[in-house]
Amino acid sequence: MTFADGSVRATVGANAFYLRLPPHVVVPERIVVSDRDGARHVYTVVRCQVQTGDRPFIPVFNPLTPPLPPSSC
Amino acid sequence: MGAPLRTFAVAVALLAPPVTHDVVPVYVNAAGTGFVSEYVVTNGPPHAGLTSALRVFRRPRSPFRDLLPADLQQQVQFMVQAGFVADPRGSRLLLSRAGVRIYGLPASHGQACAFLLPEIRMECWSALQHGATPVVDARLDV
Repeated sequence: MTFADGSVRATVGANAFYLRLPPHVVVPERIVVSDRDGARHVYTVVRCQVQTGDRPFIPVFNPLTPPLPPSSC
Repeated sequence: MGAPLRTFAVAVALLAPPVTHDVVPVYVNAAGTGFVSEYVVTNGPPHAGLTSALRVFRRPRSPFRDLLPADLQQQVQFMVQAGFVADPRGSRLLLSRAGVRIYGLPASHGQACAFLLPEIRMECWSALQHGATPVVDARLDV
């Protein structure tokens, strides 16, 4: 995962990985996933602005696919 | 002298796996802060039946290590929405580090869910964005 001032490697598990964002980072800029076969997958993070009073968009239980991002994305 | 090198470079370029590009939306409020600070990704090949595509669900299940805590099993069983059911009996421990655990659960229609502790939060997918489905939560405290 890359930020404005560097990158951090995530902890890898079984079909999952996890990384706690550094204290000064709100969101990462980019995520790069490398498969065992060498394939690379690049994910560009885009901030979606919402109103301050809105309920958090990710409920405790969210069994269905998250809603599409608002038009501000 | 230069021709063999060019041939080699072309061969490497042809054999190199493709690089995929996707966009991950992250919800951030007007103050520029988010809600929680974790970041989870379930990794695997793109597939309509995600559970069968993920290697972790093909290995034998450990009755101890892979067991979702009992109170959380009950919570998962209440999660029935539009015919969607996640099955805690098929849980697998995907990752455990520094107080954070991520369990994988099979769900209806071949979907797979990731259950994050201690947040007690679950995300489910029917397919992946190319090699993974990143979930990024902005930090609250920046």
